[in-house]
Amino acid sequence: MIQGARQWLLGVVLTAFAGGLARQLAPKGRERALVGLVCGLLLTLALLEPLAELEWAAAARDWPGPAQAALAESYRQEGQAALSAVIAEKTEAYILDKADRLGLRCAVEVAVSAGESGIPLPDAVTIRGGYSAALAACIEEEVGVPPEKQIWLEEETWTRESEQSP
Amino acid sequence: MRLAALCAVCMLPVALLRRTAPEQALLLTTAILAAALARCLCLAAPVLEEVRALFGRAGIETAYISVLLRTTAAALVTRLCADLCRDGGSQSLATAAETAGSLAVLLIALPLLRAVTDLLLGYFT
Amino acid sequence: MKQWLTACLFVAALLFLCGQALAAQLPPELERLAPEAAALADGGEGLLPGVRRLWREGWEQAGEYLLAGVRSTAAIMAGVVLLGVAESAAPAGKDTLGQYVSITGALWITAVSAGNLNALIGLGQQTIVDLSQLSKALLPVLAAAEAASGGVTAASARQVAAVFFSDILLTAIERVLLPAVYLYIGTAAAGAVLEGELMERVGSLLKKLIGWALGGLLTLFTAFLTISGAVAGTADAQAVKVAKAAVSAAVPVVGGILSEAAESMLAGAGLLRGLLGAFGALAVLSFCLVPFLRLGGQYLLYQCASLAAAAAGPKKLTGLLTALGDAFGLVLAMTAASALLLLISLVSSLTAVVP
Repeated sequence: MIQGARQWLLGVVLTAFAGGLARQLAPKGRERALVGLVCGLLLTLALLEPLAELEWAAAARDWPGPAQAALAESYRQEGQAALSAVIAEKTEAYILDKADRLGLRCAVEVAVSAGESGIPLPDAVTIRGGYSAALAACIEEEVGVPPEKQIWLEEETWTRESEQSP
Repeated sequence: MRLAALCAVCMLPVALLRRTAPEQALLLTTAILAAALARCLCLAAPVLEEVRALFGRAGIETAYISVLLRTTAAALVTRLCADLCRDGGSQSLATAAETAGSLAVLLIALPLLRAVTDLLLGYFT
Repeated sequence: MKQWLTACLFVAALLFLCGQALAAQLPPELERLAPEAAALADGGEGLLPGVRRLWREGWEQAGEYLLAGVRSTAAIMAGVVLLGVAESAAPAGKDTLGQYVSITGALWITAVSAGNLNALIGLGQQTIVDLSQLSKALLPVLAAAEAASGGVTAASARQVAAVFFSDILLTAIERVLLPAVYLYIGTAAAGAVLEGELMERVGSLLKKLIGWALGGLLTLFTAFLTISGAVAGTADAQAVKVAKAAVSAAVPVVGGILSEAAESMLAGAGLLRGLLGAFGALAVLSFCLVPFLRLGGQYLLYQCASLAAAAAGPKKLTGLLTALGDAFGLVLAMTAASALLLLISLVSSLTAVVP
């Protein structure tokens, strides 16, 4: 289509130029009028013939609908990942703060997963430190993570495991 | 420039001959005209080739360009013939030459006219 | 004229919308693409001081070129006036001398302005390519920031539309419209030499086609953004409603954490959008200012020359001068259209009401 448009423009301009030149060369009077008539016919052909031959269907570009849907999905996933990271970080900070108030020393790792609504929520908590029933109850009540999803890695177990592994 | 100078220079013998032997003046004029036209055609040949090539690249049918060139040539030849007839003192012959030239131009342009009509009718149907 | 006003309105909207963004950081590829604009945007001074600085520097740079343009226009005018004197000195009723005057004048004008024409059309083309590269780098980042603010569907629709229309505009300019400008100049020169008005009419047709192509594309793009923004906004608002319901259904602590997390992300995305908007406006200005000044200055100079030639010189040569000025105007319009496409995308993204 683009190439067709270029050819059309070039054809019209060149035909007009040739016609103008022919009229200029023709002697004044009836002869010039006749040459002008031929120029007019030629210009009509140069204007209309390529338009009839243009492939209009080929000019239509497909709207990139699938690309748009894929892009929206990738934005959602990126947003979800970023939000999950922030929620995990803030939940970990909250739990550490609670542990600190209870006089406990531990490391916390929160796993986040999307719920039914698609919003990331704290799903599981891994605590590296001595088990504390108070902290476990706090995590269950305030963070909403049930005991079966709380993984307590007590320090001795963690140390024994690290000694045994090569 | 040389052709123009030739025509200007040949005016003198033509003017002199017109007083004593007008028919010879006419013959001389015809001879100079023929020589000038032949020279013009030689000069124009490479230009015409370039024009044809240019229009070929632009995607315009060379047949149509030939029509335009032949029309222009016919117009020039008609005018020259008519002027020659007038120089010879015959207005009626000049008019006849002009009429013949006009018909010739229309005949040359006939394929073009047919092509335009077909195109326009094609749009309507 | 309308496009100039619209461009000014958009720039004014950008100036108001792009506040200082202290905490956000520009991606490195954007800094590489427009280092001056990045330095000004990151500097924390705000948009207006950056604009003022670029404007000052642009004027200094363009001033030298404009002076050279004045010199070449003066040379053209001298030739045209001399030919006008020659034409008026010719005996009345002799068309041949008038023809030769037109041919000589056309040759003189095209010879003197050929260098300028090539240089400025090349400059316009390079600016359009630079703007296209800027939009390919900037718009995805801006769309990602808008998506992070909650406008996922709107951002993806806008990004895809910007890429689609930008691609069409660039292809049309490179392969049809710029060659059409050269054809326009050719028809103007031929019109000055040949009798009759045929070549002038063809030139006028070319000019109209270029104007319609640019205007039509921009109008379609703006209309699409407006409609798709409204449609996509509904989908995004629905998604946010669901999210809010989830937040309120969650336990209070988690609900509080969710709100905080969303707010901090929104704030960060908002800051980044502001910074990107400021950067985008400054980058477009830094790319376009000198070409606009040069092309616009040359357009005005040729229009003034044509005005003076109308009084002193042959009519055909006046038409040729006007047409050459219009050729500069057409290249300016193409550059402005590319800049407008980017600015419309920027402003549309910045002014999008995030649910």
